[in-house]
Amino acid sequence: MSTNLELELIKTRLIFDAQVNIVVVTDGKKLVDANKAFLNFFEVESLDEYLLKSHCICDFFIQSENARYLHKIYPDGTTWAELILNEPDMVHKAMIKNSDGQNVIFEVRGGKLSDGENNFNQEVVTFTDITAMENQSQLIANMEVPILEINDTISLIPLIGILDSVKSQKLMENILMSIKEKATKKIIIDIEGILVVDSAVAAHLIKITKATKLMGCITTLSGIAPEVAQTMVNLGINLDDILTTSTLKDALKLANE
Amino acid sequence: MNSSYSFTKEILTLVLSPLDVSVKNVGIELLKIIRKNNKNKIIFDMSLFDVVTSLDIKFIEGLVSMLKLNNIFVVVCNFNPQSASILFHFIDEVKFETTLDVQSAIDVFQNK
Repeated sequence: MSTNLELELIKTRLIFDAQVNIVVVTDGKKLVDANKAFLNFFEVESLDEYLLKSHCICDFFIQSENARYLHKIYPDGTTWAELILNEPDMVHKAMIKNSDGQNVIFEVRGGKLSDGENNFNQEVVTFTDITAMENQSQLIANMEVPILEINDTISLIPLIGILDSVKSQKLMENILMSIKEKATKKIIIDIEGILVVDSAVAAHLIKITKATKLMGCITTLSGIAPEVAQTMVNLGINLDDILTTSTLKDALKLANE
Repeated sequence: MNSSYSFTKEILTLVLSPLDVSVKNVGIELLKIIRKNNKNKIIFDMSLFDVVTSLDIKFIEGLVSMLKLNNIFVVVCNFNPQSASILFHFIDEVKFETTLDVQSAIDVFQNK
């Protein structure tokens, strides 16, 4: 018959294994323990079987150009586990290939295995699968800045929502790549759907216009509502070097001339 | 000078080498080549620049101004999109004519 202590240990193990997320215990370099979700992900029967091929989950971290994911070790010698502990407020993400060969993106959070009195010099790290959420975010981000081809030389970009610096930079890169690929001569950026046009948004638009000009493409800003025009003048924003029209119809007419 | 050049009928196309940005008197050397071949339309091809910095732009602006004094017209082309997307975080404007590629630059000269 099991003692109370043994029952408590079994209960703790069951709680650990009942987690839907991958939970691992590491000493920073070597894996100490892992739950059932971990074993299922790597398709191994036991932790010992996993340890035969690797000592750390970080051996399976992969990188991508599109986002910053955790590295096994950084150039300054910091390990991924140390980074999580040192920067607990940051959202850390890791990408790992599953057994089907698909890239799975995890949000990674961790904490020290310590209650103040007892310090085990180990970390409990949770890997939450956020692949679906990330893919949706990417889809929304792409939908926010579509580049529509009007004809061989003219493209239209209807902007909606809020234009912040991240979205603006992404938009600029997409536009410039599109110009290079399709040899676009004229771009119309319709800003009628932009909720707020302040000096920051104007600065973003000016930068985009200058960058497209560098690539030999003329940009027209359309959909400048009377209120937006007044705000721009009041803010002292100079759009002298940029082609502007009040409606998309006018911009299309101008582009076709 | 590390840059290479080629001629069409009346246009000299110079594939600028990033190494030339730090070479002294590259403008003088270029001017000698242009005069020797009796051209007044030049295309600067930037395709060898993986990253175009504000210093590179300053260098090109210097060359363009120098050539303009000699009644030589320049069109700069083939900037890579990644460079173009970050360049204007560091500079306000470029003071020379630009096109997408060499063919577009030739078109600009032919339409002038």
